[in-house]
Amino acid sequence: MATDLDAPGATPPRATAPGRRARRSRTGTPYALITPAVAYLLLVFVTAMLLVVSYSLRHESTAALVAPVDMSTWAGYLTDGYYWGVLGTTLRIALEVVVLTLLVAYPTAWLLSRMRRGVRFAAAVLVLFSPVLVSVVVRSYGWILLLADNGPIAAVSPVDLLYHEAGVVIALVHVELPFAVFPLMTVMAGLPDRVLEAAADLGAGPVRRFLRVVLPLTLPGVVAAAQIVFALSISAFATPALLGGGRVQVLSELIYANIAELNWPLAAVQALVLLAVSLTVLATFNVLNRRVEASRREGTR
Amino acid sequence: MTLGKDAMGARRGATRPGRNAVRAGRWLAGVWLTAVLGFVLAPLVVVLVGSFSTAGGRIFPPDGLTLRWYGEVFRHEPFRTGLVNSLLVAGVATALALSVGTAAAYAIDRYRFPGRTALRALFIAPLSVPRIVIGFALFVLIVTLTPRFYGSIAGVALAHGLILLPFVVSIVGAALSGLDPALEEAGRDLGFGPLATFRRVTLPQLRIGLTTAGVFAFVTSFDEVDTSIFLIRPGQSTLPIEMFLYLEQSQDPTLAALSAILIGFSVVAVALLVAVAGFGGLLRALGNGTRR
Repeated sequence: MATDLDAPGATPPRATAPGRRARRSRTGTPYALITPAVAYLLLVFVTAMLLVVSYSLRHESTAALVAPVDMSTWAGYLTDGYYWGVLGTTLRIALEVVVLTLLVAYPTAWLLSRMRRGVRFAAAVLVLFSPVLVSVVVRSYGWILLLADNGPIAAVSPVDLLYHEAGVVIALVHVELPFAVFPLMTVMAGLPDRVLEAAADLGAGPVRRFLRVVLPLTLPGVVAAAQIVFALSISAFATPALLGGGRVQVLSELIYANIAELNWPLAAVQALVLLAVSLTVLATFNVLNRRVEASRREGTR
Repeated sequence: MTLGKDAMGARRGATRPGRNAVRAGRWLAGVWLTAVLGFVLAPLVVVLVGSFSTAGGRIFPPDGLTLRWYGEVFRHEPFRTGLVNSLLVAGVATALALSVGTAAAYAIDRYRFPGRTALRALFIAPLSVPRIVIGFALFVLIVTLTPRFYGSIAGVALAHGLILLPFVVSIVGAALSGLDPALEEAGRDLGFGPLATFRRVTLPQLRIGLTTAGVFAFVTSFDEVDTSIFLIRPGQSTLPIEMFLYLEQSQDPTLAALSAILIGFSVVAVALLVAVAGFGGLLRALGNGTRR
């Protein structure tokens, strides 16, 4: 992911920085250092992914390393309307979560980025980000209690929440919110007040300032936030499983259910479909991100 | 979105919008932030309050208060074994990811060699794969190649290590790129060998980065559900999985009590990060954690 590579840890080496000399290795040292990690990723990660592909090309659940190639599992999956329906539910939930999360995260990140760096700011940021360190099962359980039929919210809610799509969406927005606020805040913090003042001095009203200045300049943050939230939502498992109560079926739940039913080839097909959807989403947003960046550079010229 | 504009109005001061508009903007901004923070805290507060609830039927709002569910947590055997297993898995996975990841981050930061960029992409790759897929893939790997390891601590830790490796490589990599290599050269000039230089010069400077990465990795592994659920045997699993399975059966306040204890642990983890790395360090760790 291009956005990942912009992370501090992944910045290109600052070869030009004074006093910083990366050594060009003539010995084997870097290879010796990197071999364990590479071996780990190749032997475990890459091998496992290749095995998933091999399992998807089987018909029966065998733990044999090699089995005859059989496309019937794929054919069965792709022609079954039920599976397409589950994929549709998965994407619809993810889309709803992205839109709602952005609607909550955008103004929140804006307010935080304009806050004076004091105790109140630190407290707000701590509260907002700490749930990342709380188990997703605990957070889902909290939502189960809140949304339960005899709980405090169901009494005033016009729609069914717990064990319905709405409940899954609310809980997912809660889980993904920090992941959206963070990239937005980073981009917004880099937007100087001067720009807004200049726009106001040129006679732009608040609506125009937002639509013509703030939104275009913060669009990369919006794209980055949407990318992360979308990718996390389509593959979320625990939250939809617990808040959906079996009534809301998403792709990740099917994979788990098929393991329990010992239908490994079907689970492999579903895992690959989820991976393909997820990589497509990431790649689409990367393209979008490049477009936004390019048009922004064009605009500032 | 309206709020963004109002806040902007507030920042502009008294030049353009009227004083009342500014005050209204500030007020709205305060209300919005309070509401969002309330939304974030709500499920956690409910769990904390619910853990003292007397009734099994309606947990929140509680009808009366009791401490008995905290006793139930410790009497429930699967939670006890789950806790031990989770601590073991998180310890092994964190140690694995830290040792392997730090070495890799060091090589990538300090040396120029062919294939460096491709390797960095490889280390970040597991982040782009849904965790549920990683879990299933590891399940397939283990039952095919080493069925004896199915359901073992080592198997689960091996899967978690994959998820943690990208975090470690990027957090430690960031810490490394902030160091001055001249100090290492000085170490070598003093006659230290490469290992001694690393241990006595580099490692002490990496303390904060390594602690941040370590705490974050440990908590992530300890809370992990999506990968573990494919790799455990019933009755011999990790704590989040035991909680997940328990929740599918019943929702009595025992789980609320356990959740309250775990929230307490998270608070300790946050405090630990702030104490070691400062507020900025915590933000950086979370920034790395929230970047995928």
